[in-house]
Amino acid sequence: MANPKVMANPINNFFANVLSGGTRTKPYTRLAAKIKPKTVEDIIAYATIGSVVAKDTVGCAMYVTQSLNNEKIPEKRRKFVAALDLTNGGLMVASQLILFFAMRKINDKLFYKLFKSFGKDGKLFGGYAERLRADAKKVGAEVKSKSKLRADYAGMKHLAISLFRSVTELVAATILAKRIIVPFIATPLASKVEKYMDKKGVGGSDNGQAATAAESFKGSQQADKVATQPDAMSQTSEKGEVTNLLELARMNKKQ
Amino acid sequence: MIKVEEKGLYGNFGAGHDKQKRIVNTNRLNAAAYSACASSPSFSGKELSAIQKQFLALFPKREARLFNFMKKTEEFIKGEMGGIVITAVGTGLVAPFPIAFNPFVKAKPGATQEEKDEVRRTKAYSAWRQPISAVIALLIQAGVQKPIDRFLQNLTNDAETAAKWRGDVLNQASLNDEDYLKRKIKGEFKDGTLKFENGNIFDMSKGSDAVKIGEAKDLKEAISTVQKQRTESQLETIAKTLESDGVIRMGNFNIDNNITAEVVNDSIDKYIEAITDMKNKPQDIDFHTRRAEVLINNELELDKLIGKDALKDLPTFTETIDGKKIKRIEFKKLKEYLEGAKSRTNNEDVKQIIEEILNKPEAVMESRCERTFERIKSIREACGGTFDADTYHMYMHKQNRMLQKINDQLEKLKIKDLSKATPEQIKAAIEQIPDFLYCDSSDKELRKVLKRNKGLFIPDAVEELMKKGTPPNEISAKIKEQIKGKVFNDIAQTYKEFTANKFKLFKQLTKVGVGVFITLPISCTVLNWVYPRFMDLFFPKLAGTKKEADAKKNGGVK
Repeated sequence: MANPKVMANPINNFFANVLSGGTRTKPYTRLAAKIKPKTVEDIIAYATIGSVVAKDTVGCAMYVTQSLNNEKIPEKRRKFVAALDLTNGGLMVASQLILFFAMRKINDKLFYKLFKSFGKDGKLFGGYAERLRADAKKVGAEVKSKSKLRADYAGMKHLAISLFRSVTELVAATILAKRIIVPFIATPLASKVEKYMDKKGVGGSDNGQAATAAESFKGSQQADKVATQPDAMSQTSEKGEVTNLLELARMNKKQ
Repeated sequence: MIKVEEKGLYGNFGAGHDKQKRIVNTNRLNAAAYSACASSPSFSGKELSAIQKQFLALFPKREARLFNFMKKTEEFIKGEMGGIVITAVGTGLVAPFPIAFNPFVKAKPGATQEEKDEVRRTKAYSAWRQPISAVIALLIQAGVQKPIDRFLQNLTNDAETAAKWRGDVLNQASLNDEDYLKRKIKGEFKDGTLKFENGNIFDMSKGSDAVKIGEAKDLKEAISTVQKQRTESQLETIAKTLESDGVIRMGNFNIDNNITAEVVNDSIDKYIEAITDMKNKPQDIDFHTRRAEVLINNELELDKLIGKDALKDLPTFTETIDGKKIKRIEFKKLKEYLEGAKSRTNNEDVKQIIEEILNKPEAVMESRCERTFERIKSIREACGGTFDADTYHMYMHKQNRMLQKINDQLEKLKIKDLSKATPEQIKAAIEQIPDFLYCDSSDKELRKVLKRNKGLFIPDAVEELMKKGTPPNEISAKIKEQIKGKVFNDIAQTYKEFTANKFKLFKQLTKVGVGVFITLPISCTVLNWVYPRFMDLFFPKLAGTKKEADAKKNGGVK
């Protein structure tokens, strides 16, 4: 068996070539140029929410594609199911972005309520700095200048506020929006989309019957799909069996 | 260490804080830490500096605990890992409930009990997918974060692969990432190149003789100590090459000139910021002048009320800080005394000054009393011995002008067109910086101002040299040399922070790409496989819904 360490070098070289090439592209160099000590945390935050939204988007795309190509779903139902997937995906992405940016407006106020020591006006710093300087003088140690103390204090504040912002923004987007608000909106919205599709004749002539029969399970399907994004769980098992309970119920009713 | 609590003393820090009994553990305010601490702020979120630990010791307990908790969990709540963990928490702990207990999902009116139960089981079956999905996401998506970090560190730090980035800042061949160094050093302790024994660190690579290179409490500290030594050594090498050639060298490549120029400009900006911080704010100058007048006019009464002699009979306690015994006035007694002093005087100005001292944290009051008289002394010195309001006012403006002059000169040194920067331009810019940050003894006023930021502008060694009787012109040359060395080191340090930030972005974007295109599809596939099997195994009754559906579809149970 080949020595793993020797084997690793070609792999490392390959990835180094690919990644270094990627960092020389214009979009990357433009973004990297914006990175400064004061902006790096913001850019990381945008990249994180961008990652969550990208996963939701890819998951939604996978759902829609799977629904459109799932032969187990009756043909006249596929567009309807795919449309619901798209609506839910769009709702999820939009709500996450809205709450992310809304939280950005208020999280500093919350932070200063939690951490009074990092008082917004900087007045408390004066008291702390004085204490440290007084103690240093008493023990005969070097008395640090206020600006040096301020730099260290600012470093602590920067750490605390950036972590706080990171958590609150993600919680607002991924928990509040995606897991609480969207499931409750998606269900009534699904009814409206269904009625719209029935009106436009999408999904076949027995729409009314199928819709009535499936009414009981409607919310379950929507909540299920909403809640599983961005997991992008396929609604078919590996053997191609339909695992979507709503569709099963409708198919049974038809039979 | 004497716990101040034993003397029944309390610490109260700042208006707006809960007044609560606190143990003022002054051993945490370690005098040795004052001398040894680095003053650079911990923006990277790595270890807190000694000064930062001292600040934390002064915070209310609740805030200090919360800060420490956030610091400990930083790697799990920031960046891509934070996104995965918080999403998993939402998926596993929150999402099941709106599904299982969704009020909009119910059996149609007039449904039978069986139909109602069917709806309930459907909701429960669907809800269980969430925690399963969360666990899989944590295992797969979160599980690859650290390996990705290490892989990217290896690519950008190992000389062979780092060379692919050539002159880009991501080439860290000669200024390694701290975590990468620690892993390498850990390996060296394992393979015997380094040895840790009885609190001593030995380098075994120099033939048969073990060379002691440091001391540490335990292996973890030993690794950290060796890493700091190597980082220092790398920074020195970079500073030397910058000084000799005007370039930052990484392995066999020079970092692009535009990047080096940007780093030099960033360093100059830091000096400008430090100097601006030393200026008196224009809106404060009038206040300081009025305050100076009040202090000088009421010096006698203040001395009678809060001077050394007035306070000498107050009860004291002894604190031990770093082996030295210090006498302090008991906080509560001092506060009571000052309140009494305030009520004894009819002078509104004196009342105001004492009130301001009373509004400070208790532990600072004694030093505030002492500082009042130090300020009076420095005000007189500023006016040449005899206070005059106009002279003092002009003195503060003059200080600001001197400092602004330095800032203007530093601003001119900045390299304007980064894209056309050359090593010669870079070297010339850096070499002029010490000239503006240094002033000799002939300019006593400027030196007094610059001494406020000792260490940055006037090296600590200057007074030692003077005490030794070194001739003035030799002192000047030595100091300039020291400042020059410091400037090059500062720029190397700025470059390190510059690299760390760029690497953060690189890591984050790589992880997003891997997450979206690799680990997400894998998680989905695994979930697709695990979910029905898990439900069949552990919740057969809930899964029975599907089997019944199959039976109806196929005309009987298979």
